[in-house]
Amino acid sequence: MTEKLLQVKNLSVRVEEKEILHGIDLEIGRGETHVLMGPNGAGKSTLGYALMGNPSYEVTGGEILFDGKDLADTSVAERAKAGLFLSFQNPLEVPGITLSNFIRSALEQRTGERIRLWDFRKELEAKMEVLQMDKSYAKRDLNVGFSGGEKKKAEILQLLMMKPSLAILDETDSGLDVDAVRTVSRGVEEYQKDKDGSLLIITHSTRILEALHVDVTHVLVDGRIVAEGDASLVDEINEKGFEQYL
Amino acid sequence: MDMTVNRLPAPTWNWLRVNEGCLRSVPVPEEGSIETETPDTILYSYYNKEEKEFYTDIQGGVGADLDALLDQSNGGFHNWEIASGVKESAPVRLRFCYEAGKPVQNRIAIHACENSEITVIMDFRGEDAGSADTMQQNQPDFAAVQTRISAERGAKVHLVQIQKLPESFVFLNDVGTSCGGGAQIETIQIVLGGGETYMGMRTDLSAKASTLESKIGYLLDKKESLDMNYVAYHTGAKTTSRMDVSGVLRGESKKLFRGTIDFRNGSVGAKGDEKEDVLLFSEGVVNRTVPLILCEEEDVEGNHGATIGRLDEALLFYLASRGIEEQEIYEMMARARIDAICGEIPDEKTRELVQGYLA
Repeated sequence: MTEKLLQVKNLSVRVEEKEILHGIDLEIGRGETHVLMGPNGAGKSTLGYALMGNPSYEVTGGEILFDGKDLADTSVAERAKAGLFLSFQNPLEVPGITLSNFIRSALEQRTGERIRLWDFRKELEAKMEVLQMDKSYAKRDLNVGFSGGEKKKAEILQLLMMKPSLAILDETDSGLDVDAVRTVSRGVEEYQKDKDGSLLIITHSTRILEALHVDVTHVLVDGRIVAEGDASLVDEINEKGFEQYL
Repeated sequence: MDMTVNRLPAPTWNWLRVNEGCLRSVPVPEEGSIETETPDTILYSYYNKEEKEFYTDIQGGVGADLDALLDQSNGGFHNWEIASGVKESAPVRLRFCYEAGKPVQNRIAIHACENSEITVIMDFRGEDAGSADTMQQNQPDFAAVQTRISAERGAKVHLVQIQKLPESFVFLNDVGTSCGGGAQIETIQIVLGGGETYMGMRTDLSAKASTLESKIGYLLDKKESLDMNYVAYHTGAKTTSRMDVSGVLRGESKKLFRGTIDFRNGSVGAKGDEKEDVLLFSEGVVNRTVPLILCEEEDVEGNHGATIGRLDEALLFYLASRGIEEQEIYEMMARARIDAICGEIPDEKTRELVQGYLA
C-alpha cells in the first residue's frame, strides 16, 4: 500500500489529432479531497476520462499510477474494479436495465460474488434516502426519462453503493438548482465520511464545495496546471474568476 | 406445397433477394390443439372456415399462399368476441404446444365490438426433437398460426405473442387486422427461439384516427432465421402507425425485416414511424432491413430510423466505468432489449414467463 493513492506524472493526452493535456502532474492521497477548477475547454473532463481509461483519449506521454500500479495497460472495467469511479457530467440513458439491477450487476462484477438481494435492497434504499430519491427510481430504466437532477443523484447513488477508493466527480453540480446541489453534496459528504474515500472534484462553480472539506485545489488552464493551493484558492477564484491565469 | 410468403408490397431488385420468402414442400398441417383461458366477459365460439366473413375479408402480412395452405387443412377457427363497451383487463390466454413431427395450424379470430377492450396472449412452445428422426430425415417440424383481428370503432386490442420454439421448427405467424374509427391495435411479439420463423402483419388503418403500435423483440442464435413482413396500410385520415423492432443476432443467425408504411389516397394527416435497433454479436450473422414508405397522399408524415451494429462507444465506456467487462455489457444489453419490450406486456404472468426464458 502506498501513501499516495493516485500519482499522475507528466501526463499528456490527445483526442483525435489534438493534444489537450500537456504534462500534468497530480498526486492525491488517501482520504484527500482535491478540486480541479478551470475555465471551459481547459481540459478538466479530458483528465477525468483519461484517468478512467476512455479509449478515445490517447495517453501520449507520462504515466498514471493508482495504488502504486501503472494503469497504462488496464481496461476501463479493470480500473473501476481497482477502485476508480467517474461520475459523468452527462450520464447516458440505458433502456431495459433498471437502476437497481445495474448497480447490483456492477457490484457483482466487481466482487465476483452473488449479492444477497435483501441486503442489497436495504442498503440501496438507505442511500436513496440520503439523496432524497423516490424509491420508484430503483425500478426505472437507468437514467431513462430522469431529470438532470435525478441523473446526477443516480450517479452519486452509484458512488455510494460501489464505494470506490477514488471518485472523480465531473461537474456533478452543473445544471442543478440550489436544493439539488445541496442534496448531491450531502451524498458526496456521506462518501467522504469514509476516511479512505478520496475525491477529485472537477467543477467551475463552488456551490458543491460549500459543505465539503477541501485539501488541495488545482487550477487547469489550456491543458496545464497553472496554480495549486489549499481551500482558500477556491474562494479566491470564486471572487476573482480565472482571468489572472489566462 | 411450395409457398411464397412475406412479399414486399413494392418489389425491389431481385438480386437483393428480399422481395419474398420461399418455402419448399410444406406439408398440409392438421388443426392443432390449444390450451385456453377465457374470462367470463368474453364469448368464445368455434366456426367452420366458411362461416365467418370478417375473417376472410382481412388480409395478413404473410400472404395468400398461407391462406391456401390453411384452406387445405381440416380446421376451422377459434373466435373470441368482446361485447360493446366491455373493457376486460384479464387476458385471454392461448397456449400452443407443438410436437415434433406433427405439422399443425390454428386460425384465431378476435372480434372487439365498439368501445371494448381485450387482451389476448399467445404462448408458442415446441417439443425439442433434438436428434430425432425428423431432423435426420431433413424434415423440419412445422407449425402455423393465423390471427385475424377486427377492432370496431373505439375498441382497443392488445395482442401479445411469445415464441420459444426449438431449432427444428419452421414457424409461420400471420396477423391481419382491421380497424374502425379511433380503434387502437397494440401488439407485442417476442421471438426467443425457432429454426426458421416467418412473421407477417398487415394492419388496415381505414377508419379515421385508428392506430397501430407494434413492438417486436427477438434474440436469434446459431443458424436461426427470422423473416418479417409488416405493413401499415393507411387509407383513413389522421391514422397513425408505429413499428419498433429491436433484437440481437448471434452465431450465424439471419434476420430480414420488411417494414412498409403505405399512405394511400384519403390518409390525410396520417403519420407512420418505423424504428429498428439491431445488435450484432458476431461476424457470421446476416442482418437485412427493407424500410419502405409509399405515398399517394401529400399531407402525411413517414419516418424510418435504424441503429444497427455494435454498441455505441460512449455507452460502452459508461457501463465499463462501473467495472462491467465488455462481454458482460453485450450480454446485459442483449437482455435489456427484450426486457424493455417485456416490461410493456400488460400481464405479470407473461412478463415472468419471458424472464424465465431469459434466465
